[in-house]
Amino acid sequence: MAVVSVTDLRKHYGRIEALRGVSLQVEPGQIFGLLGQNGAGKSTLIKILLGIVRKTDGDADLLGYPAGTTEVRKRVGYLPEDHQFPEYHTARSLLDIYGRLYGLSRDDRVKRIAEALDYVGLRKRMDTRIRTYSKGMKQRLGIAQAFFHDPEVIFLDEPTDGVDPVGRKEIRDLLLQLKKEGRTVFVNSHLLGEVEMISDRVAILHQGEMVRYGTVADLTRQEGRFVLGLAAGSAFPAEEVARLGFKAAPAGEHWEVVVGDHPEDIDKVLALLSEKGLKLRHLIEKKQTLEDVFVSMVESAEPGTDRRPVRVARPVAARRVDR
Amino acid sequence: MSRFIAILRDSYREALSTWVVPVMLVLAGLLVLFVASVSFRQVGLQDELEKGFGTFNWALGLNPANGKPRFVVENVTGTNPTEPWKADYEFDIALYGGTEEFLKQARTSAGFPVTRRRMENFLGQAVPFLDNVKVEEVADPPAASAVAGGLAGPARQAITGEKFRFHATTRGTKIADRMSWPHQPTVLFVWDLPFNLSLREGVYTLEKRLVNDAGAWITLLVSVVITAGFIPNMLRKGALDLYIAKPISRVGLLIYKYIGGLIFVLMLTAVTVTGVWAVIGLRTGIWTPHFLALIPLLTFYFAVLYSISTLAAVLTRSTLVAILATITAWGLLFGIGWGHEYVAKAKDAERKMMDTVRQADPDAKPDEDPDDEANRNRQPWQVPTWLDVLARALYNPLPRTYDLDDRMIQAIAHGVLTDFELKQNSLDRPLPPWPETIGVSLAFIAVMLGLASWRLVTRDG
Repeated sequence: MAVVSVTDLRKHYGRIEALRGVSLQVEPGQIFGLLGQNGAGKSTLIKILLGIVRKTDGDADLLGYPAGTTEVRKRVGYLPEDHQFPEYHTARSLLDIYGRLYGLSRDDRVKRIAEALDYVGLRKRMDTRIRTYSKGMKQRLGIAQAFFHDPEVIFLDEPTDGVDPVGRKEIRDLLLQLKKEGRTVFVNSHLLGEVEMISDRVAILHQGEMVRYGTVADLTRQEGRFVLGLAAGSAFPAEEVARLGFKAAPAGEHWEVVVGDHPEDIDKVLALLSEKGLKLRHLIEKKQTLEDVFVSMVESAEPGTDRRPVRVARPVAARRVDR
Repeated sequence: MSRFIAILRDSYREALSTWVVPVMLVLAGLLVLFVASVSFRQVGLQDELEKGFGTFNWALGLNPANGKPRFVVENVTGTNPTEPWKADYEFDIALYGGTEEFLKQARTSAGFPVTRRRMENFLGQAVPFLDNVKVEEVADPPAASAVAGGLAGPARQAITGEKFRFHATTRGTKIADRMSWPHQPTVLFVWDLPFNLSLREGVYTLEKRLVNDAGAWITLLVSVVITAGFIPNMLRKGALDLYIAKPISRVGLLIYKYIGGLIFVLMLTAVTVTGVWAVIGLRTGIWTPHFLALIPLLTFYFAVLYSISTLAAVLTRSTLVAILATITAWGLLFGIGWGHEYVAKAKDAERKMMDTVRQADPDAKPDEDPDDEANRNRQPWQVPTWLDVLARALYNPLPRTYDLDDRMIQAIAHGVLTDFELKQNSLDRPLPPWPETIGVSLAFIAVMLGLASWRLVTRDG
C-alpha cells in the first residue's frame, strides 16, 4: 500500500490555481523528493495531505486514510517551512507538549526527547529557551520534533533552510538513517543537490503541475554526451561522426558529441579519430544532474509565479574520463 | 485528556513567559497584604460619642467669634464592659465655652442640641444603636460641683466655663452582637481612620470596595490582556501548522486553549479571593463563605469576555484587536445592563405612580394601558415604549455580566450585613433568576465559540 497516494489533486486559492491535477504515489521506505520553484505548490501538496489546507478537488490519501484524518497524524511527522516555535518553551518542554499531543507515555517522552535532541545535537541546550537558539538550531529542533515520536512517514518542508554545510550533511545522514529504519521521508526542497543525493524518487512541480516524476536515475538518465578536444591545428571530422549516427556540434574550442543511451558508443568515435591519425587532448563525459533537469524543465515551461527576469546561467557538472 | 493537559501546559508556560503574570501575582499579594493591614478595634461608648460630637465641635470652632464652644462627653458608665452591646449606659454631655451671643443663637437654631429634646434627637442620630435614651438637663451635677470646689449654680459655671449639662440614661441597645458594635478601623497597621463603623460595615466595605470594585476589575482587565495573546500566538503563520499537524482537531485545539485561559483566571482569582477571605477571617473573626462565591462568579464573568476575545482573535489573528474588542464589548454589556436596570426601575416607578393615581382618582379606567401611545402622551413621567422595547431587546439575548456583578455585590453583602442593613442599602432587591443569568450567558459563550470554531475549521492553514 502506498504511503501517499494523490490523484488529480487540485487546489485553488481564489483565482490562483496552486495545484492543477497532480497525481503521484510514494511507496513505504522511500525518500521522496518534491522539487519546484517557490510557489510551485510543493507546500500546498503537503498541507493538503496533513489536513492543514483543504483540497479543491481530486483524491489525496495518507497511510490509506483520506487526507486530514486526525488520528492518522499520530503516525506522521512534519516540519513546516518557516516554522515558528513558541519561544517561551525550551526544546525539552516543547517536545514534551508535542509528545503529549501524540499520546506518548511519560517514560516514552523522557526517553525519546533526549534521544532525538541528542541526535540533532541539541541535547546540551535542551533546557534553554528557544528564543536563544540560532536559525540552524531551530531547524534542527524542527527536524527532531518531526521524528521523535517514531512516525511512519515524515514530511520535511525545506529541511536544510538556514543550516550550514556540516549541518546539512548531518541532516542528510539522518534522513538516510530514517530510511534505513524503514520510514518514509517526503522532502520538499529547492536545494536540488541535497535531494539528488538522498532521494529514491523525485517529482518536479511547476506552476501547480507535475512536469517530471520518477527515480533520480530516470530523471538524470545519461544522454551519452561527451566533449572532445583535438591537438592544435587538427580539424574535427564532424561529417564522419555524423555518418556513425551521432550528433556533433562545436562547443567553443572543442566539440560536443552525443552518442545516445549507450555511452560506450563513444569508443566508435575514438576509433574513428585514431584511424584518421588525430590526437586526442581532451575528453569529458557531460553528466546531467537533477539541477540540469530541473532548470531545463523550468526554462521550457511557461514563466510562472517566480518568473526570472534574467536567464540564469545553467551550471554543468562534469566528470573527466580517464583514458 | 493528555492533549488537554498539553495545551494547558502550553498556555501556562506562555502566561508565565510574560511580565504580566508576575506583576499580577505581586498585585494580588499587595491586595492581600493591604487587607491584612486593616484592623478593627472595638471602641467604648465614650469613643463613639466623642466621634459623634467631634464633627460638631470642629464645625463650631471654625468661627472664632463663637467663643470656642465645645461639647464634652463625661462620666460614661456602662453595666457590661465586656459585651457593651448588652449594657445600660449613663453619661453626661456638657457644653463648655461659647459667648452669650452664640448661646442665644443656638437656642433659636432647631438643629442645635441645647435643649433636652434636641439632645435626645441628636443622640438618636449620633448613636442610633442606643435604646430607650432619656435625657435630663442637670442643674447642679455633683461631679462638676466638686471640680468647682463645691460651688453650685452660676458660681460653678463661671469657674469651669460650663454653659449647661445633660445627663443621659439608656436601657439596652439595638445591637445583637459584636459585629454590629462600632469599631475603630486602622489601615496600614497604624493609621486610624477618622470614623468608626460596625465590624459588618467595615468588612463589607473592604470586600466590596477593595475586592469587588477595584480588585476584581483589575484582575479581569489584566486577565483579558494576558489571555488575549494565547490564540493569536497559536494562529501565527508558521505556528498554527505545527499544532494542527498534530493529532488534535482544530475545534479541540481552540476549546482547549479557551479552557486553558479560564483555568488560568480561575487560579488567579482563587488565590486572590481566598487570600483576602482568609486574612479578613483571621483579622476579624468573620468567616463568610458567601465571599468565596466571587471565585466562580468572576471566572464565569471572564468566560463571557474571553469568548468574545477568542472570536476576535480567530477572525483577525491580532492580540490588540482581541483586547480592544473585548474591552469594547465589556463596556457595551455594562451599559446595556445599566440601561435595562434604569428603564426597569423607571417602569416600576411608573406602575406605582399609576396605582397612586388610580387610588386618588376613582374614575380612572382600571384597564388603562400604561404602554398605550395616547396614554403615554398624557403622562409625561411614563417611560416611552420604544425605550423599554430597545432596552429589553438589547438586554435579553446578551450575556448578563451586569447581573453577575450585582450577584457578586449581593454575595458579599449577604455574607456580612444584617437584613436591616441589606434593605437600607437596597441590596435585598430580587435579581433575575440564576437559570436565566447563567443560561443566557452560556448560550452567548456557545455562539461565540461556535463561530470561532467554524471560522478556524473552514480556513486554510
